[in-house]
Amino acid sequence: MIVYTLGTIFFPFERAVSWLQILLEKEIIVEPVLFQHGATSATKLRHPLLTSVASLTRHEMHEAVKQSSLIISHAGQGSTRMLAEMGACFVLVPRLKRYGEHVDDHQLLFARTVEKFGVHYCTELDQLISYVKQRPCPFQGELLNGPSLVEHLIAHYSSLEPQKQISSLKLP
Amino acid sequence: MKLLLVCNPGGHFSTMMGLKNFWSAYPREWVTYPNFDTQKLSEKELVYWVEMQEARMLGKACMNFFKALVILRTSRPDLLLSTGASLALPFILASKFFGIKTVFIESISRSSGLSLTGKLVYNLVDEFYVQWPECVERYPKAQYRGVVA
Repeated sequence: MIVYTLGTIFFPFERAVSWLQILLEKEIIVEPVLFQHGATSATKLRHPLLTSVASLTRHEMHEAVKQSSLIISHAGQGSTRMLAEMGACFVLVPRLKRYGEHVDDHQLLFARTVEKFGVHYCTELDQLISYVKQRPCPFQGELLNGPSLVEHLIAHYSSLEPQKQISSLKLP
Repeated sequence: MKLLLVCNPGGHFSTMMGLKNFWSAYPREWVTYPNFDTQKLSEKELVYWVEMQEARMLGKACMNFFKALVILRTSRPDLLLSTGASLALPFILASKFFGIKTVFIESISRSSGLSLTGKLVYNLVDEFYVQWPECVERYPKAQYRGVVA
């Protein structure tokens, strides 16, 4: 199985839909595809191998990724980090500003940055085709391993206001 | 210390969830708009739902600015924490009117510069965190203290 996800962001990503159509029609993909299309319309795209859903829960996505031999994803930081953490075999397709797929090219810049850690990405259909034919190795190692900002915030704010801090709070 | 957590859905929301070990120790309320991921939030957390506002939506930002004034007056947080994106702007701006301390955390996807929201709130916020050391060179007020895992 292949998971093909565009994320759940508000901007359309028509280029990725047309690429998927070509991959299926030309029988480059010959296995079931779970397509999370998010805010992009997927009604035009029909194929016996294709299952389209607007969005999956985090749990559903995890289960789908575990069962897949390849995940093709937009280059959102949330998706990328989840896939890297899971040690998935994945390729990123960054959303680009010039096609109205995002407000700027930060997904491309992000993809270039994480490429240094061994993540694969593509900006052309030909590149994606070669990744479908020859799957990249499952991601190993850590993607972004700096110190923890959470630990800094905890220490910083507990030193500022120790008397007001509540150790655990249950909201009504 | 009471917190108001402000974020857009998607990656910004997951970044905020990554900070749970910090915010779970304080009384808190949330500001976001309903999406596939954020909808379930209200089962366990107190959420102020606002207008869907994505990047460059000036009209929506104005509407949310007025909502922000009302929410901040009701919620009275001691600290407003935002992981972006565009929702941060009206809420950080409105916080200035109430003298509420503000913290902004730039997305980890910004390794070589700031987002538009980041640039707009850079001079407004009390603390500005980036997740790449390189960003500190161009923006001296920004602090690099690590990444949100």
